[in-house]
Amino acid sequence: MNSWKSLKGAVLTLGLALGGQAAYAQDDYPNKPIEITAPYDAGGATDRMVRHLAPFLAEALGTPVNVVNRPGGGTLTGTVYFHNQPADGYTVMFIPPTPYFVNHIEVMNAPFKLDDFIFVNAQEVAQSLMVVPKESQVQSFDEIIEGLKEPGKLSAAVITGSSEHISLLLMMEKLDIPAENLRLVTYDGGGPTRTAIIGGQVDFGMVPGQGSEVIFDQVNKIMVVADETNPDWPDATPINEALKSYGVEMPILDSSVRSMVVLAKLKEEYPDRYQKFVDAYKSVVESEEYQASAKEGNYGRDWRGPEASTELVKRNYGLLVEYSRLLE
Amino acid sequence: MDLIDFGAVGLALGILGTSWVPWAVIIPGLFAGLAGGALPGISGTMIIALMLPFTLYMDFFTAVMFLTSVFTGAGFGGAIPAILINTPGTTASVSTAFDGFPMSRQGRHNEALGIGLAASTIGTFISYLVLFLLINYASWAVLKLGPFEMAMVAIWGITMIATLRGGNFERGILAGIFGLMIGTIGIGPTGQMRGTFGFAELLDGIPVVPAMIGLLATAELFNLARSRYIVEKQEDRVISFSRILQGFAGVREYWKTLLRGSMIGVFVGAIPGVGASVANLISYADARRISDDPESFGKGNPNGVVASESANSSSEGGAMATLLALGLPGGGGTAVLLAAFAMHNITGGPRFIADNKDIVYAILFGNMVQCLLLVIVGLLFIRIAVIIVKVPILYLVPSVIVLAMAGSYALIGNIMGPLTLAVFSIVGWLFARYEFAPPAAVVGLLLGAFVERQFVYSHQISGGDLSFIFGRPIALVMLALLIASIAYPAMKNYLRARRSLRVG
Repeated sequence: MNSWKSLKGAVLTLGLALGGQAAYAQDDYPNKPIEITAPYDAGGATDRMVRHLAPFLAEALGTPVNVVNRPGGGTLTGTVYFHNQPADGYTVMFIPPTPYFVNHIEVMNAPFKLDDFIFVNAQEVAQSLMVVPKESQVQSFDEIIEGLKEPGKLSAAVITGSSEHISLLLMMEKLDIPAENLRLVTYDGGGPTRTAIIGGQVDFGMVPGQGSEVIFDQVNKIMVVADETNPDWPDATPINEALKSYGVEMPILDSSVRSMVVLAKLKEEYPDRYQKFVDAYKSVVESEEYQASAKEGNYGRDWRGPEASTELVKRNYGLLVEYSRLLE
Repeated sequence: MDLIDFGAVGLALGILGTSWVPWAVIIPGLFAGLAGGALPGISGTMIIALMLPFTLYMDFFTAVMFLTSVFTGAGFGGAIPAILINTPGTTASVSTAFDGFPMSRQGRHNEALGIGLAASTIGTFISYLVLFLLINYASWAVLKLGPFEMAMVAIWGITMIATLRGGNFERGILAGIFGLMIGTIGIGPTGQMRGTFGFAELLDGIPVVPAMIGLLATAELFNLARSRYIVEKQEDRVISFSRILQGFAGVREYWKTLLRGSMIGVFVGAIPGVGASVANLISYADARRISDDPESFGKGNPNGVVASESANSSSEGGAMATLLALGLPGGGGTAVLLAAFAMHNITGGPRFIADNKDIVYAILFGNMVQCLLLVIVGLLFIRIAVIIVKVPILYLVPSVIVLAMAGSYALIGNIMGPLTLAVFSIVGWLFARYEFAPPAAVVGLLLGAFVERQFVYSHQISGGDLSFIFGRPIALVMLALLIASIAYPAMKNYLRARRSLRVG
């Protein structure tokens, strides 16, 4: 009786396994939930954006999509985890690769290279925004530059090692202003940086503009690191326009490039799955429903596609490596 | 700005009265929170994050009610293992263990749990009451606190190291310094790596919760291995609902500690990035400092439990103030709440408060109701949990260690968690054996990196100019209070000694 039962069980298991195998060969990807690795804590700007995206993506792919936070080491822990996953299309990652990857790859000898990844879509390219608290002693770009010329007069807040950090130091270098003139506070995240700015702890700050909307009521926007004026922030002058009278020009370093990432091996080993994922994601971003919902929540909603996005990430990576000497 | 907008109060009551659904989720939420908080290694943040997907199918107000119930439940849940097995369920209940566990060992486990629950629920209630009265102002006060003020707050907690001596003062201080030092392992505030010896696993520093459980709990469990039960005497080893209730009602004897603890909790909880894990330590240190009999702390003084539990629970209200008024999360739990807000396309902040005062008030009132329900749910929960005293140590120790191992794996997400727990269990046992006060090391570990970061920010913001301090009146007042509070007991002792000399 007992052996009959276990035999029946074995046959059943075998059948299921074979059935599973058959399904596998036919490749009905995706036939199980997909994880989006989020290598940062819950609640930040990038996290909110991916959590908003996930249900739309789940509907388009016909499978649950789970956002799993794997924070640590300034996104290193989660990225290493993602890099170790099989390139089968069931684990993808959503991350602002710069500036973090620069430190991981150039300094920490991380076990991955930039070429191990395909940046499927840089869905939001944030711009660095210079803001001043409403009660700050400096209220214009020129006043800030004047103040910077006096040693120790001004203080500012940035996220440590960020594009804003580098852009600010690079601008001072180009203007021949010694870095010591500025009392620069390097916070370890967007939250503390924004708190310090609206609390008037510092005279000005530079933040990723997209994702800092929560403080916009309490600050004046002065300058944006971009080629053109952002229509959402008409008050912020593009950096090179603001610098024209000083006779210097700055390279445009993008702020957080919030991007969907897959392993490069996925495209080699499962080109169909890769295409299916990219197409589904594209259809989501371009859908009216998603556009409307993302607009309401103030989330980036661009479709740049894999080629342009990967190029964009590499360009910023190169600039950051070039100017990382400024951080020493 | 008006203190209270009564029109909005009316509308808020309207929101609360329109549907029964938001009320129906409170009790499951409280249970989930209690269970999560009570399991060592599962943090309140984690359990809220786990519950987050359920809220996708709820409307905004119901979702917030549910998640804040989990938050409220977890706020007390951590106290249960702290009191019964010296294993704080979360970092917020570290100092609950200091007097709660000695009470248990003396056979006063029923009372300790009752007092803890009372302090917890009343503390939370007070914090929401304060929030209701001051929401327009609280957030602005918090913003005025710069890094230097935050460093002062943290130092207040660190001074507690001096009071946590396990029989030997100098070794207690050394243990605290050990904690502070290992707290700085990892990426420093200016981005450089320290003390990692090239291990990428140490980039984020020593994982605090597994290390804390190792230092406090497993070390104590090894010591317990010689006893047969947590409560030595059989006649004390009783489970008595009436004594839990007596403990609950008895909290009124400690109302001063309760009020002070609640105020400390609201204030400290509101500061972004500080929260309940620091609040309970500061409150405990404060209670001991003003006590007429400081030596009784750490030996089963109910004031210690009240101080810790009132402060860690009332931090919730403070953290909610920062979240609602500024859109900034004060700690891990509110960060997840913020994500829940985002899922419903709501961002906290001054604009949110100004435009939706009715919703804000409804959230506050709903939370006050949660406190009342926590009394009932909590009493039932501890009535079940207290059975632990009947479990022989022989079975208890391995079960707790296995649970803690699994919990620390879940928390860290890799083998670093259990490894840290194992290493620090040995360290903790050695420390306890040679009187190097393990709790002092835990306090150092919890606060070391934080206070250092705030000092680095202060240094950056002042450009290294010490006169900067004189431009910070709040910090100066805090500094003066700190010095006075350290000097006062010493002076009192000196005067007492002189007086007795004169009499003699």
